[in-house]
Amino acid sequence: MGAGSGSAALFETTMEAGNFSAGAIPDSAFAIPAGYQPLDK
Amino acid sequence: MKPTHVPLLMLAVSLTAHADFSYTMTQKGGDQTSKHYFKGQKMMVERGTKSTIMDFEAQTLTSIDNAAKTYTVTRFSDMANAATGMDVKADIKNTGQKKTINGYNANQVIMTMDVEMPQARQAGMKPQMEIELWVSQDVPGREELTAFYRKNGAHFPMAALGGGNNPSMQRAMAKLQQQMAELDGVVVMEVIRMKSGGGAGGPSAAQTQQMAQARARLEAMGPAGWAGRRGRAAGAGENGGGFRLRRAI
Repeated sequence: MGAGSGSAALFETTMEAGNFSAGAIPDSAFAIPAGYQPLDK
Repeated sequence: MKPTHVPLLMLAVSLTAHADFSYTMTQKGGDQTSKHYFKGQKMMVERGTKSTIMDFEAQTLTSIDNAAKTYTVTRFSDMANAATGMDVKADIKNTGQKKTINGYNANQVIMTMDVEMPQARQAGMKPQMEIELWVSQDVPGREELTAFYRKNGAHFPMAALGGGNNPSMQRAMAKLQQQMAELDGVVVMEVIRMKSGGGAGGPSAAQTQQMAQARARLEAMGPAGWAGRRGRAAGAGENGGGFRLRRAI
């Protein structure tokens, strides 16, 4: 359902959210895994 | 960091220590899935073998390649890289449409970004990105996510994420961020459309890339994260108990 302007979409994709959880996430989930190497920017 | 900032940061961390939240975004009819995690002052998005971590305390964005076992750390202040010469207009509109998505009562919100570039004008085109959002107040854990954004929303690096050195894009992204922060609910579905808005041909690769980057920047903020702030959502339900969008601009 497009509610915007009338021009045709060149590209369209639909994303659905699910698996919502308020469960505890360990701090380690946000850490850089051991042994990973930094890249020069 | 000034020493006087440390106690404030510790307080902020303690206040948000229990604001854990996670969800999964899945492309309908496709195979793209991303996992989003929120905790304290950090959020992470995993897509395939790539992970991106935003740390609002350290003001850094860490990109991890789990296949190559490498990573890069970029400060928010070093992320300015957007193209100049673009004029961007953005808006959000609550349409009043309602439907049930995966068991959640949701309301439709349309977000549009119009991009004007010299090349597009010459071709008679007006590239537009439209994101159709379905927002629900029924999602479990919404309070945790709201708490996360209440603490960190003001610290999103919009100047960096939202257009780098392009003032027009910065203004548009800041406006969208502010409007999205007013959404009283969690996005349970989004439909993204790229439109040319006229002209014989489609947008150039550069235009498409700019809009895709803009969309990626917005996605970095949610979309389930585009939950309303509890304080400002106090009036939710005034219009028949349903969703409403408040404009703060």
